Amino acid sequence: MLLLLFNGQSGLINRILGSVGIEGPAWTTDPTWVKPGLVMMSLWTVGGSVVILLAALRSVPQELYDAARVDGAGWWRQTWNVTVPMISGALFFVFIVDTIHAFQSFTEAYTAYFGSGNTTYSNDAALFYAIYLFQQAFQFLHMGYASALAWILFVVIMLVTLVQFRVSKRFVFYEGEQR
Amino acid sequence: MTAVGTPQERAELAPVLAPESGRARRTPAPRRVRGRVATWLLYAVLAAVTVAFIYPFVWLVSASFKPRSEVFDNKLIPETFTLDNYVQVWHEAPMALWLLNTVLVTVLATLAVTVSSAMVAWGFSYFRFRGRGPLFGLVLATMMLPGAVTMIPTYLIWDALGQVGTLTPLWAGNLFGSAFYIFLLRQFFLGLPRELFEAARMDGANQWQVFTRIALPLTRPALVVTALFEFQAAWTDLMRPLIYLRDANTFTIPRGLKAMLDQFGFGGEWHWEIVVTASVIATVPMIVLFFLGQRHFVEGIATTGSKG
Repeated sequence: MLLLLFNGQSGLINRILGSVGIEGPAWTTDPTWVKPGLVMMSLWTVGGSVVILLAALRSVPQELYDAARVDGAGWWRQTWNVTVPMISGALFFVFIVDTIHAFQSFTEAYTAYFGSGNTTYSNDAALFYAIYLFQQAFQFLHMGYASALAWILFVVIMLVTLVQFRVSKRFVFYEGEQR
Repeated sequence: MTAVGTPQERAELAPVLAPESGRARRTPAPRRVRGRVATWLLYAVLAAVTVAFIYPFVWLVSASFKPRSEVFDNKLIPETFTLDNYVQVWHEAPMALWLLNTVLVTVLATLAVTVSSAMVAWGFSYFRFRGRGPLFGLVLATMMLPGAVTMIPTYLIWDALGQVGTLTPLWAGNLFGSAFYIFLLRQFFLGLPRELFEAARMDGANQWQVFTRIALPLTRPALVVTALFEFQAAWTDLMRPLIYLRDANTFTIPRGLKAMLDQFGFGGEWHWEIVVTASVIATVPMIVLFFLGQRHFVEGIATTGSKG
């Protein structure tokens, strides 16, 4: 049922662009626009991150804002010095999870460009690693090769995540990790 | 989300999203109140976005009340209003049984994953022990393998346990937690000041009480998020039912929808009104439940100290 959401987006987007006088590109067939199109499509699923960050925002104690205001902090200072540090843990979570998720991009691109009976246009612009892996494994039945592909992807994601964790030590604040 | 989209179907539905788009029209406002113009513009943009998000669903509901010939006429108010589709769906498929199966799986999956993930996350955030970092890395690593890779090994495990064809594989894996939620809850547990736990210990609370009386209530928003996400994921899961379920009597709603799509959708009898109606029946319980739970959800969040 959710696949109904992903249908015909280019139509809607180009209509909006058209209404302000821009002729939209051929999102689905022009190789240069396939990837931007898919990125915008992924915006359709931000709901999850929004809910997580909302939960984090709601966990920030009101006292901190009161204290900040007493100290003369304006809206901007409050946001930057209270809100952001207090939700940095959740921000970091969203960051990591979405990175991993993006590396594994599959469903949207696959249903849009590699679905059954699709021979109308070249779709290499949307040939993501995970899709290639899936094709090797289940279309060409090169299981061994596909498994090797999976391990390489795994190692790459692992390294990227490791770097992110290293970097995060400078930016993410955990109240429970103090002293 | 589900992997049943094909180009033909998209071609069919593409025009559906097209109308209603240019809603973000500028409202002429008096020059003296500049703030008001901005407010109106903001509302207009928000309204346009909202329309874009709910339009497909409104379309779906409206189509379910149309006779076959009018399903794709793209009118939000059906020209000919009919309830026949609902009657027919009920006759064509064991919808009630499918709903029951789905509710069972969803509730068990949600409970299992929330409880187990919270416990594991607590272990990784409160206790300090050797190898905590690498072990947590191992947990995260389970997120990094593409799901397609672990599908077959997982199937073999469930097959060895003789559970293929039952509903068990759809939820029992959740008893061992899920890296996504463990990570999420760990982030929230780490955000709690340790002094709270020490104060509780001083007051004579044991480890278990610190966990259930202090940590869990304070992270209620995150727990609600966990439950909500898993509920939604389990309810709409198509992949695992496709792999593990054979008998139509054990189908969950998404699996049943797929079966109906094959029978009535493209390549089948082209009875789209049946597919559309079944989709509505599948979606509505979740929406109703969400609205029922929403009050609870919002309250749960507010108690932890709202930012207003």
